[in-house]
Amino acid sequence: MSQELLHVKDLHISFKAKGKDVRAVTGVDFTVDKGQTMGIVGESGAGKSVLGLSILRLLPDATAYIPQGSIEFKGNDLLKLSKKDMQKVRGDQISMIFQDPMTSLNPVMSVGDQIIEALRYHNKDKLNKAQLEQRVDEVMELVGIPAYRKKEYPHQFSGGMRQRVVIAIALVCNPELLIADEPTTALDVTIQAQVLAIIRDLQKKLGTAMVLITHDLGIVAQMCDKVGVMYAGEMVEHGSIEDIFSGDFHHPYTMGLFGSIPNLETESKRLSPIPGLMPPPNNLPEGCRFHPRCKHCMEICKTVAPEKYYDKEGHYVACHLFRDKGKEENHD
Amino acid sequence: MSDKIPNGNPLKRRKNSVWKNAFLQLIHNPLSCLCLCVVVFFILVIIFADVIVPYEDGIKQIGANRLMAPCAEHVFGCDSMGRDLFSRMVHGSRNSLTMGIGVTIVVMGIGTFLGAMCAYYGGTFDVIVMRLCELMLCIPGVLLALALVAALGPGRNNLLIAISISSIPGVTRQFRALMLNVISNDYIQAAKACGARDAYIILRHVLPNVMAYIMLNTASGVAGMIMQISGLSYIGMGIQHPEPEWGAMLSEARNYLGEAPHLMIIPAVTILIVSLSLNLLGDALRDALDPRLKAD
Repeated sequence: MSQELLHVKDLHISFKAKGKDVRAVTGVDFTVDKGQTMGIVGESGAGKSVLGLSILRLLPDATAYIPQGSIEFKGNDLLKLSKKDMQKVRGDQISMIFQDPMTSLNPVMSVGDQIIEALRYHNKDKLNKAQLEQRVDEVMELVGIPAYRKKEYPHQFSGGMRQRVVIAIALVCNPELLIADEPTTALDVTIQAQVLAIIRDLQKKLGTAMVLITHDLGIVAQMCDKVGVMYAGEMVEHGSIEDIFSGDFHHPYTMGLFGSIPNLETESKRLSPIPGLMPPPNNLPEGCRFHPRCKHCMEICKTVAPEKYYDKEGHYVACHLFRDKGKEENHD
Repeated sequence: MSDKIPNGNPLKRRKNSVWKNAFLQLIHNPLSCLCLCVVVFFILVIIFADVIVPYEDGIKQIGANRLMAPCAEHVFGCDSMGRDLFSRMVHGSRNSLTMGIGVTIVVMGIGTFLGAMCAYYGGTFDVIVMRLCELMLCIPGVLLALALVAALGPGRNNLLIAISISSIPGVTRQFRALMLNVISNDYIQAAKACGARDAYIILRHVLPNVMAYIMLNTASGVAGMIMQISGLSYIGMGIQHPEPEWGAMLSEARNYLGEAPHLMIIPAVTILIVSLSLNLLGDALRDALDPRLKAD
C-alpha cells in the first residue's frame, strides 16, 4: 500500500438549530492515499459537501461542531490545529475547488491577482513579484488559459474558463490533497469532459490526491480509485471502483443510484429511480436510515441500525441483507 | 535582482492603472468631467480663499451697504448687516465644505469599519453593535445631534462630533447589510480555502466589492452633511456668529426674501451646484471603479 495521506476516523458533524442538534454526518470513516482519488457520491443533502468543507474546517463556527471523530492529515489531527496553523494548511497542502465558478471568483479582482493571492499566502520560497507572476503564467498555461488573459476580470470568461481559473487557484501551491466539491455540476457536458480531463492530467502530473464529491456516477467511474456512497449522513457502502461498479454485493441504495441512470448494456424501457426523498437530518428514521425507501425492507431494518458487513478488505455494505453473506469485521 | 527585470514592478504598475483607468473614464464623460471641474474649483476656492478676498471684508459691517444688490464693487451684493456677500461665500466655503466633507469621511470610515466587523465576525459583537445602532436610530438624527451639542456645548468641534455620532448608526447598518451580501458569496469561502487571513479577506475581497457603494454614499452624503451643519448653525448650535457659513447665511436671508432675494439665491444655488456635482461624481466614480461596467 502506498502512503496514507488523509484518514477520516468516525467523523460526526452536527449543526445547532433552534437548540436542537441536527446531525448532518454520522460516523464516516475513510482514507485517501497519496495520489489516490476518493469519490463521494450520494443524493443532494446526503452530507457530502459538509464532509468536504469539514476537512478544511470551513464550516461556520457559530452553528457547526464536531462532537466526535478526527481528520488526520499526514498523521496530524486537523481538528486540533490552531486557527493560524489551519490557515497554513489551507491552500498550501489542501485546497478546494468549488461547485459554481460563477460565484467562486471575486468579480472585482483580475484573475491573475486572484491566482497570485493564493500563492502569496504561502510564499515559502520567498519568490519576488516577478517570479510570482511567472508562476501565475505557468499555472494558467497548465490549465489551458493563455497567460495574457490574466489581467482580465472573471466576467470576461465563460463558465468553463472560469472553472479553469478556479482549478489554477487551487493548484498554484502544488497541494497534496484537492477537495473538489461537484467541480463540474455547473458546466455543460462538453466542458465537463474538458475540465475533468484537465483535473486528471494535472493530478497525474503533480501527484495530487483528491476527494471528489459528486452525484454523477459517470464522473466517478472516470476519475476515482475508491468510492464511498453516502446516504443521510452515513457512508452506506465503501469500496474500490471495481467493487462498486461490479459484482452483486451492494447496498440497495447503491443499486438504486445505478438504476436511476441509463445503461448501455441492459435494455430497459424506463429508468427506475429511488422512490421518495432523503429524510431531513433533523428527523431521521429509526433503524436503517434507508428503510422507508428500500424495496428489500425487512422488520429488523425498522428498528436496528445495520453494522458494516465486509465482503473483502476495504469493501463494506451497511445493510441487514448481507448479515450472513458478509463477514462482520472491525475496521481498525 | 528585481531591478534587472524589464517590467520593473508589475503588481504596482497594474494597481496604478486601475485608478488611472477610472480617472480616464471619468474625464471621458463630459458630464462627470464638468462635475470634477466644479469640485476642483471649490477645492481651489477653499485653499486660496485668503488670496481671493480678505477675510475682514466678510466681517466688516457697513451700514450704508445694507441689503445692497449685486453691483461692480460687490459682485454678490451685501447682506442685512452690510457685509460683502462674495467674501462671505468664499470664506464660508471653508466652513461648509471642509466640515461637510470631513464629517462624511469620518462617518463613512467608522461605518465601514463597524459594518465590516459586524458582518464578518457576527456573533455577540454584531448583536451588541446592531442593537446600539437601532437604539440610536429610534431618535431622529437632528434631535440626537441637537441633544449632543446641547450637552457638549456649542462650537465647531462639538458640532462635528454630534453630527458624526448621529449619522454613524444608519451608515453602519446599511454597510453591514451590503457586506453580509458579499460575504455570503462563494469567493469569500474560496479565499478562506486558500488560507487567507481574516483581515486580508475583509480588505481585499469584501471592501473592493462594496467600494463603489461606499463612494456613492460618501459623495452624496456630503450635501446632506452641509445641510445638517447649516441646520444646527441656524439655531445657534454650530458655527458662531459672525463667522460665515453657507447654511447659516441661507437661513438668515429668509427674512429678507422680498427685499433682497439674491441673499438667498446665491448660497442656495451654490449648495445645489456643489451637492449635484458631488452626487454625479459619486455615480460616475462608482461606474468607473466597477470592472463589470467597463468597456474595454
